[in-house]
Amino acid sequence: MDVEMQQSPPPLPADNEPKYGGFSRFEIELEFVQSLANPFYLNHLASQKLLNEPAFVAYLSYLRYWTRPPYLKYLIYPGPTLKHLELLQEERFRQEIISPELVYALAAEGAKAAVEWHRE
Amino acid sequence: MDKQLDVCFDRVEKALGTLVDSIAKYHPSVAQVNELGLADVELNKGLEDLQTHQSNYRRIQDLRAATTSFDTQIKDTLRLLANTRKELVNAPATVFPSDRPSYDIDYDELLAYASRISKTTIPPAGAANGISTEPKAENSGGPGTETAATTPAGGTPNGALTGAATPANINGAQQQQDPASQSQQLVASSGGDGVAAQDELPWKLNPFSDVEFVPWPSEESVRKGALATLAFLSEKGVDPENYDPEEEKARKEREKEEQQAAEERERQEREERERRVREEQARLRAEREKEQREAWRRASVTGGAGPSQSSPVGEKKQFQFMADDDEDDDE
Repeated sequence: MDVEMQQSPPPLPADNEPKYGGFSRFEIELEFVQSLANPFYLNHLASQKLLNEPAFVAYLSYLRYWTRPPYLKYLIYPGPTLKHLELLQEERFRQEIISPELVYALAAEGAKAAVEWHRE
Repeated sequence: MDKQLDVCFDRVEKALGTLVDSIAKYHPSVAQVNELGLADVELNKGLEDLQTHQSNYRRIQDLRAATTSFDTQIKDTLRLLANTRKELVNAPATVFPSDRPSYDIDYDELLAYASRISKTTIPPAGAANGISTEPKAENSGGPGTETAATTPAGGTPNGALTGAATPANINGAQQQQDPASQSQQLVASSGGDGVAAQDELPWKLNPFSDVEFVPWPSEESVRKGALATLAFLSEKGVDPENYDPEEEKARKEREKEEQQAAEERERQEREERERRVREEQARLRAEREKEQREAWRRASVTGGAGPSQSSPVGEKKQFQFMADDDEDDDE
């Protein structure tokens, strides 16, 4: 994945593309960026000390291509995904997501927003 | 108008006065009578004018009222227009940040996207009914509230049990509160580091819908995903690049099929060989039997018995042979 960071975003799904363990790069990165929507997964990443690694931070920065078309429309959890992706660009957030309180606050906020956003 | 009429009246009055005077002096004059008649005619004309005048005046008044009402209407319209304009000017428009690029989005695409994400961004219709995400007053202040949320897996079955045991607690709030208070008791010793109370997570939005909804990929789906597969592969020491389990499987199957085909071929060849050997043996045996039968026949013929019926079931060759032999016998 370190290699991919220097590259441009992956091409949209097509036939006959190279596969990694049976998955295209597009599929893998889509899955990963959406996993970031899960606060508990963020906490897990933090507990693996991944969020402190410069390579990983650079990868997070690279993943911001998901905020733009034509990739944007493939996110099926757009709200939390984009929010967390943006937050993860912040050094302070990367440090503090290790705290369970923040994780639960994020989870509660996300769940609440999903229920209430259309009631405003 | 009044003056005009006054003049008419004066004239009539004067003519009448003159006539009356002249009559009083016993000296009437025809000219005076004519004058009175003319004055009367004038007066009538004047009255007609007055009537016209009055109707005109009335019309003018009507027109004035109409003008006033139209004025008011125009003013109202203008005022409305001005207000609307003000509102329009003051309406908060979305400010597109100039530092970010904006994209043209196809309407159909947007609708398709909206329908696609509707399943993953809001809870199913039944599940969101009758729940409130307001912070619960009963739970506020307790440091165990978060823990209630932290152990949804443990808490939920408890809640279900409690609900079953006490059917009186039909409302969801009560039922949701139970696991909270239970785990609150469980972790009472460990909590207490002064964290602020959080909203309880609506993991089970409606306790009866039996649907768990979170607006992000669940832990299970993350565990089952492509990344987990890649991690598994790298643990096995397989370089995932250009490694496709499907293709790998297909390749193995192909190899297996080829092996099976080879085995099949070999088996067929073996069977063929065996068959040939069997045929050879059968032929040898048949020949032997024929010779034997021939020997028996000769023996029986020489023994004086009639044509032997004992071996009509032999092979065709043998039968023909025997037939020939029979013919010989008949002759």
